[in-house]
Amino acid sequence: MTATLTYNVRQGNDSYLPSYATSQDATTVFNRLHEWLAARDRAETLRARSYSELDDTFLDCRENDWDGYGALPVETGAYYRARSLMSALLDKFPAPAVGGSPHGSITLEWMTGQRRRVMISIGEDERIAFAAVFGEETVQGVASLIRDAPREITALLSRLFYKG
Amino acid sequence: MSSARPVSDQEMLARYVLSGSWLYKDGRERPLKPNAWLPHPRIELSVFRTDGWHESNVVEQGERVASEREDKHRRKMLHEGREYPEEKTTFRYLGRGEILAREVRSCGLDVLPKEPPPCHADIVQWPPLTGNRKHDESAQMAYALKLAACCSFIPALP
Repeated sequence: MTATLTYNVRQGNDSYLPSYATSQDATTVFNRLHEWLAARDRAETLRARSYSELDDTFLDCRENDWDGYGALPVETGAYYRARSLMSALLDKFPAPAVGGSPHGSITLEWMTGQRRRVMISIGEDERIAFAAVFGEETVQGVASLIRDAPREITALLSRLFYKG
Repeated sequence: MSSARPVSDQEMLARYVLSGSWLYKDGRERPLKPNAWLPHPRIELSVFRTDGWHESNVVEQGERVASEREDKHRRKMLHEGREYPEEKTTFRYLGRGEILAREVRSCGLDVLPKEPPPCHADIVQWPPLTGNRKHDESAQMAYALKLAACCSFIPALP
């Protein structure tokens, strides 16, 4: 007897046809599927935390002088751009820490050590300021966000997480 | 030009934290974000020279800074005709980033006295503004990342 298990990835709903399978293989498949679903749920929770941090940052930083030192307010356009870029980057990289920049932008920051950090700043226009430190080396510049995550940013993050 | 004595390498400098947005929320050991070290709208960064101060004086100064900002903010909100309940507080002293003047200088910046108020100083020599806002911001972020790497954070007592 074989187990019949269906999972519709596209619609995102989990549906199992009743199975009366009792073989060891069927049990293994059943357990693996449950492990995978649990892992997927945990992954979604991690994403939810990042979006929640982004939302909180926007709410905290949308007034003039939100830091007490004269910061510019984060505009709604910056929030949506940051959300879109973060969504694209979360497919490939760990969740960033989200913050507000006194320039009126949203910042995303990743770090693997005190002197291994990447920070990007997303404002209302399509240009993204970025900076990184890798030990004594410093990298900085401006990239364009047209549709996909800019190559300069993904290259820096790949270096941070996957290269020495 | 301030007449205060020059800032020596061994001096401790405090950057007062008034907004929770400057702190990581994931419980990490060093919770101060590099955002705390970004200068704007001036291209100097405001710090206090706390060497030789008793801890209670450092905290008092932080609370004074927060209180001044809060009063200014409250007046502004009320002036704009917006509601600002008596019990509401936007700025409070949450702690401070601490960094040695030597570390600031090793990052390529400098510290100069800037009084009043007493014992106030500015972190200076940030890259000159080019008129290109994003380029300026990326250059400042590079320095902020370096400062964040060598600072510590002293939280306010609950």
